[in-house]
Amino acid sequence: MKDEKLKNSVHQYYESQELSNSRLNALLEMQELGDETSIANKVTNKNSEYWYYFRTPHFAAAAIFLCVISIFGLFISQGNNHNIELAIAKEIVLNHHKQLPPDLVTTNFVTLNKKMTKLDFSVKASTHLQLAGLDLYGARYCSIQGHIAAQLKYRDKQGNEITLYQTSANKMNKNIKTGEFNLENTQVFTWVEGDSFFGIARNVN
Amino acid sequence: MSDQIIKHLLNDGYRYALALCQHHAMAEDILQMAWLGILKVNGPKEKGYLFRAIRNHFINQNKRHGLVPMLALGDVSEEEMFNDTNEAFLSAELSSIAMEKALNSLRVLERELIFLHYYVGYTAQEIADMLEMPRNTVLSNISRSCKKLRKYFEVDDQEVI
Repeated sequence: MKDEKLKNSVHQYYESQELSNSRLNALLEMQELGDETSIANKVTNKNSEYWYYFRTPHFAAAAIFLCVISIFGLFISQGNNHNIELAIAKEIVLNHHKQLPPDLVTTNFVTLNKKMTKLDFSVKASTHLQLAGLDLYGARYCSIQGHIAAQLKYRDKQGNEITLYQTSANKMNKNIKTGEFNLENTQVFTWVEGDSFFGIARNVN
Repeated sequence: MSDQIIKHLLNDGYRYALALCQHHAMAEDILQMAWLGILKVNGPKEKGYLFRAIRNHFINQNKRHGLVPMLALGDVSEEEMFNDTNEAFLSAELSSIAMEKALNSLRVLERELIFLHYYVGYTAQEIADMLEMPRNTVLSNISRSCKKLRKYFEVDDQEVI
């Protein structure tokens, strides 16, 4: 019965091997928890699970800090953008109300670009809907927030004066999305098209 | 399923992992990963399923560490296997330490077969199905492993299966 003895010895050897109580209890708890998230939190072999690093207090603190900074930055950024948009709109309204005569009278954009040599950008015929049905009749130099700009003078079918402002998109205005303002009986619409910033002003009856 | 049944299952899983890696802490880790995997997919809490999960984790872990545990049998001579035979173990009493040492001298697959056949009580066909190998290969390997163990303990050679 020596084979039996060998078999029994193997059996006895493995029978004597048992999980440590701490590990057995941990595995039993995992089984009781059931849901995946809780199970993950119960794993005691921390080094073998990459997500362990994501639940350390330091990581949590850093994540919260970054979230707070991001949200705060977003609010500040949005606030700044809104302030800039409003300042530009106010400046456009001011220029619009001055109703200064054009430096150059022309209906042709090629002529405008030839004559307005001080501009650091090309005057473009915007395809924006706000310009639909308007006729260009002249232009003059002006400035928007300290940057040189072109004030293009338009008239609609009823003969109302409308002014369009174009300047190159810069740090200050390049992030401005389409905006609409009603200030001092004047409607101002702003947008960025390609590398140019545009603002249009018209009187509201 | 009662706690007692689960405890029994987990201990059997641990023993199987131990048969594979012959390292207590590693066996616990392998069992835990396998158990976690089963719970995550809400798999069946049965011995066959747990054993397969343990085997897969063991193979993956060894691949990750660049080890090749499942070497083909027959490329190491028996003399090489037993060159550290301790005289103290030649006595009839097979202590736990002696058995551990004897099992350590076997290759992973041989140890696995001995465990599945002698401890779990699987038949050669069941083992063949589980490990996806021919039944005759299982039989010959078990026979060979027993021969090695007997030789280790200087037990008289005898047909086992």
